Amino acid sequence: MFNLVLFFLVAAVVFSELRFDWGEQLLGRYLASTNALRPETGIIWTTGNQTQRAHTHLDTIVTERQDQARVAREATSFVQLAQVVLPGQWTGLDRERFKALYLDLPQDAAAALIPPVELVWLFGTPGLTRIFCQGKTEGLEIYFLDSDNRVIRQIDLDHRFLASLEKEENFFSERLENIPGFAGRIYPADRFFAALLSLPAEVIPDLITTPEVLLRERGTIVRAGIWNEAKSGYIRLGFEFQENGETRIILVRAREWAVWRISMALTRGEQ
Amino acid sequence: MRGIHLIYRGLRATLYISFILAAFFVLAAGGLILVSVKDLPRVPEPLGRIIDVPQTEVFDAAGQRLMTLGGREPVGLSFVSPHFIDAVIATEDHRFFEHHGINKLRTIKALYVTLFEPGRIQGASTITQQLAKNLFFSFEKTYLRKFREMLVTLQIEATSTKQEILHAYINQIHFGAGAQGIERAARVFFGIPASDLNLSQAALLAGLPKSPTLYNPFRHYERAITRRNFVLQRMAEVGQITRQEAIAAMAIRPELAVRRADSRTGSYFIDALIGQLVGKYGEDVVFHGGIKIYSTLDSKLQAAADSAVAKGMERLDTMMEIDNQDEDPPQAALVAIDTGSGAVKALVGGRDYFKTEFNRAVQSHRRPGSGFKPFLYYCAFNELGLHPATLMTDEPVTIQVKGTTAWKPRNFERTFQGDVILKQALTSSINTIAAQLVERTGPASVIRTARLCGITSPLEEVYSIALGTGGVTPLEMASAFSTFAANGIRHEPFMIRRVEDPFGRVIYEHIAQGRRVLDAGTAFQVVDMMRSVVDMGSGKSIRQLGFTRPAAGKTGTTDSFNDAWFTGFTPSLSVSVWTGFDREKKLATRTGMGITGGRAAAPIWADFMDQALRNEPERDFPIPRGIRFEAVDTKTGCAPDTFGADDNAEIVRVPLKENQTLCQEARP
Repeated sequence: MFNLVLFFLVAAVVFSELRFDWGEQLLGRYLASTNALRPETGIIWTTGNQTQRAHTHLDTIVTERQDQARVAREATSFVQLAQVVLPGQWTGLDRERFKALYLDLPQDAAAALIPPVELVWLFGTPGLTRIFCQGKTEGLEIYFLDSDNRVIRQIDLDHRFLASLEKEENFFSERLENIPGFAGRIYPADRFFAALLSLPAEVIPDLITTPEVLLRERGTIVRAGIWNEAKSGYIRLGFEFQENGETRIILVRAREWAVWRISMALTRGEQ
Repeated sequence: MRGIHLIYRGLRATLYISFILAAFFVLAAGGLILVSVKDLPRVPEPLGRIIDVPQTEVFDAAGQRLMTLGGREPVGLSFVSPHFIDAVIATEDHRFFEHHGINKLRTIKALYVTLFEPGRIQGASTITQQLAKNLFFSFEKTYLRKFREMLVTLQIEATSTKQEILHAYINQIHFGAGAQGIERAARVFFGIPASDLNLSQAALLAGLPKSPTLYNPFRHYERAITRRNFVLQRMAEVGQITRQEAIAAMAIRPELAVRRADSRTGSYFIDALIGQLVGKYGEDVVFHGGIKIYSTLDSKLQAAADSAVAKGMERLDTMMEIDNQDEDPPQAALVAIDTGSGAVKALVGGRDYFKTEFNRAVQSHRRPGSGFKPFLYYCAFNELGLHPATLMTDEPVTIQVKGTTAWKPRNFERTFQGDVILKQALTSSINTIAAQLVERTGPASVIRTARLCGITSPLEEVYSIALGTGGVTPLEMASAFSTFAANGIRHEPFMIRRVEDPFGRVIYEHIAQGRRVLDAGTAFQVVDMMRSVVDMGSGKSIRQLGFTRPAAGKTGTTDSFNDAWFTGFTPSLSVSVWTGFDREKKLATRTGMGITGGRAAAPIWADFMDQALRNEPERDFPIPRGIRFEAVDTKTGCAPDTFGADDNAEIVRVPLKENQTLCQEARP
């Protein structure tokens, strides 16, 4: 009797499975419950990973480009531009930005780079679509492009030119009081930096935009001066370094609004 | 009674043994499942995610999409012809809507056949099993792989609807000829969307996945039709269509779209472009990144190039009396470059991409013969102070070469003209004068000039380099001659204008930058000499064919007639055409007469240029500052009548630079 019951039971199980596929469904549900714990292997996942890798690679390229474009936008001089656009890298340069950087150059250097009259012509020509700069091992190349990306005019800023520019821009073997532009706005270094450090943190990077220029110098900063004229939204700051009895001045450029903030802080200190 | 008892005991024993075996089987299967489950691949959720692979798109210079790479074009079931759905179900798995992933009866039958009928294999895979296999597993045939595939099948069935499974299946299945997914297949094979497939077309496509290569209709049309008929028969058997409908559909022979083969692109230009991109960004980005590639290809010019090469090859076949079934016919390559930017506007790498994908325009380094002489002449003008009116003597020449036998170049015509000016020497392609010039400049200088112009192939420093014995590609020749066309301004040839990521952000753009590498005046003098080649020299077939625009160029034919070239340019377009066999074989008529570049390549050039420039305004080569033209007697190198009137004198005009005078001789 037991055997018969067992037989029919088993037969019923087998028949119902063949008829209703409950075994497959049960197993399928069980496997679905373990799905999240299983590895992403197989052709489709390989393809997915390749797509993922491709997108990561593309994102890296785009992010690098955007970073370069940002630092290029924020560069306060051609020297700084050449420092951020490394060999093999490239970025667009806004027309107004180029003008500002150009106008900030000492006249001789500007004329050596490109005669102002030619620049007037270039900016006036309808063919000029954009300006593009590319880092080279020899320095920086700036292209003026038409709508087909053809180079209308090319400017090469080689290392020698950049070095002379940097020297001209930053360095004076002088004392601050001998430079008329700083007259009446010269402060002892400790007072200047105390005022600087009292400002909100977000102001400081716009005030000392190129701290590496100061960090590179040897000696001690004894005094700081503020130039009495703004140019293209920037004002020059002069730092007088002293070393072995000799003095020299390093110039850096600060955003006008940030200089206004430190001037206020310095004035408050006087009062 | 005893007998009944014995039977009962036998049955009981059988039953117990069956139970034990069944229990053993269940336990073994359970164990195998537990062991296998942790290594099973994860199934994407939802299943539709699997077809979400972006495609890379390639555009021509006008922004028209040329083709897509990688990725898939998934379509909803409602956008697929019901005929195709019916056909694929009838053929692959007619109980698809009834089972839960596995057709047990078919599986048992297949197992029996596999185990007990050696040599025979019977497939039992359902559509879901095929989907699982295609998505996750390799094609190795092992029982363990089959078991794991079955488990994934059960999971897919348990978590997806039949519609979702079918949708995934038809969008990922391979049909061959580079077509994955039904939408792509419908477009590749019939040039229509999947929704427009008729019964005959749908049945043909449904038959392909069994063996995309074996049934590829482009290659094996009759085989594909037989397979299509089998599909129609199956559809009738399972009741999806009537017998009459099946018979009517069988009578139709579907017309295929423009012929394609099992290849990725169907275009030499795109092959070359992809090669460059893969080198720059890797395969993942190119085939899986969904990038947008804006190329320099001008579709109108490309069509003109394809047509000119096809016609040129037909002409050559006729000339050589080659029948069109020849397995190894002569080949051709053509490259057209914009002289103002270096943009490659058209490129043909062979007479039929579908027969051979070897790209002769960029991969084949062939000897240019006299096509190399313009570099020599520029070099001689620049370094030796010679000019087009300088007089030299065409006579037998022997040049001593250290460590080997002396070099005795011969003229193509095997005759000597005596005193000639250099303009005439290039026009007539006189080898002895080229040899005298290279002896004086040295081969290194000639190579240096070629490099300045854009020749990048390795070249050996031998005197014979002046006669073009170093292999170069048609792309290099078109690019290097483009430097002459631009009066000495060199533009790097390029095929990619811009590359964008899937969101339209630019990741690469080409800056067309010209660099002065040749003196403008001297380059113009060489251009003027090359104009003479087209007007009255070895390239005059260009004029005879009716091409009248200002053009300059140089033919090139190697001694053995293995290579026949014509590279020439107008002020806006530089084009190089090569013809020859892939292996060392002479281009010759049946009578054995060699075929020159002027006969084989120049007509292709003329035909292409005629089509390419049809709607362009005609313009002449710009004359650089400081150039003056003077009439000169080709036999004296002096002004006409300098030595008295001569009615037989041949007078030509030559461009001279400010410090250059007539009556200059260049005797060794």
